[in-house]
Amino acid sequence: MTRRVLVGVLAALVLTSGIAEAQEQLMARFYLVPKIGVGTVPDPFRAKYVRPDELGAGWNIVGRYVSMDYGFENAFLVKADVTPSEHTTLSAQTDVLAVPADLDTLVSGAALPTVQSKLEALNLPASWVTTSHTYRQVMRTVRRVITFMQRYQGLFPADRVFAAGITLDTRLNQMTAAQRSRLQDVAVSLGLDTSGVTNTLTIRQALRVMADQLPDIAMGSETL
Amino acid sequence: MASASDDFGAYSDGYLSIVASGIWVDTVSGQAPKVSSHVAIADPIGNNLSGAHYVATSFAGDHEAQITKANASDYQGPGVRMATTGGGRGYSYFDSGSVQKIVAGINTEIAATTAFANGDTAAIRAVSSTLTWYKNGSLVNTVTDSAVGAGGAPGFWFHGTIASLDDWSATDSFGGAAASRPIFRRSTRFFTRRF
Repeated sequence: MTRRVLVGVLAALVLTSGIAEAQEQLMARFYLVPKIGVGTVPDPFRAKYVRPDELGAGWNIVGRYVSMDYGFENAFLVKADVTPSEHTTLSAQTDVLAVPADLDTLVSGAALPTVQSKLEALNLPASWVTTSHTYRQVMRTVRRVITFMQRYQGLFPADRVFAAGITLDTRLNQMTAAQRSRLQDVAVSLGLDTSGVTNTLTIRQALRVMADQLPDIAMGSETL
Repeated sequence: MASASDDFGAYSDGYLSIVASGIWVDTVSGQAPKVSSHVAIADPIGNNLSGAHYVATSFAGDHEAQITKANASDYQGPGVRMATTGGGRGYSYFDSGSVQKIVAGINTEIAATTAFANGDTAAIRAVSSTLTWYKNGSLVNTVTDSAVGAGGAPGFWFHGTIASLDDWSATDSFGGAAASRPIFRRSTRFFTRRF
């Protein structure tokens, strides 16, 4: 009897331990978060919430994330390996857009307005997203637009695309020749074909035409 | 295929871009790293970003740089794709563990990982839009960034007034991981200069 009790207790302990371990298992997740910092080495522009203790004592995802900044814009695409509890904490922030872990999930009708409005608020084209798209398709385009705009900032660090008065709905022929020329230079720098870009396209349309030509890249275990 | 190394032992004390004219160039205007007792140190006048890139050898746009940290304070790191463009550009793996891109002298952190300490070697490699970094020869992580395309030169970055580093090396030939690549002791050019 005593032996049976002992075995039972041990089995319960093993089970509990296994559950706890499963709960703390790391999972790759994507987030869009705001930019913070001042642009120096000690206080660089960076994704919000990636430094230790930024979301309370003990918060630390250093070594478990990489990020891509959206050029001049107030956004970073973050890929982080987080525990379920860390994901709960991070996704609870009102300025964080958390992407479902299964990127191959379709965007639901309920989520669609939120996905579109949050991306567009960051100057990321999203009016094309429908419920027939998966999050992987959405994030792939987001990542490609980010890649394009990173190169733009690298080539033209003093000239933001979305300067005063310019939005995603601005047509290229409403921009100055210099602004259009800069976009053209970025496309050439990335080896993109601009024959499909005409002056009557809006920036949102032009960005997609160009971004769609960029190849996929690996971000940790995921490919976007 | 190009490789180079420098332990700064061939130079007298002074501004690196002067005592090693034609070999090193200041990357950030007005912020000039120095040589002191055969170690590269940050510009003691400023408390800002500074750096130097190697111009005695032409490197392919995809290349790697490695340093040995020589001071426990301030910030230092190997640099790739470095150029004076816009007030300084390139990428670095700083000893704090922060992997940053520098565009027009402005720093953006794209990953934060393992810090490195005095005597540790740190390397960063740029291949196309992929950055890979190593501590003591072991792979730390990889990230993608497209801001600074192919081009520029390898070198090193500092921030602060007392940052310093010792052995520096670079290559554009990746025969294996940084772990297997020794610090090149001295190029022919340095033998020429020393003797």
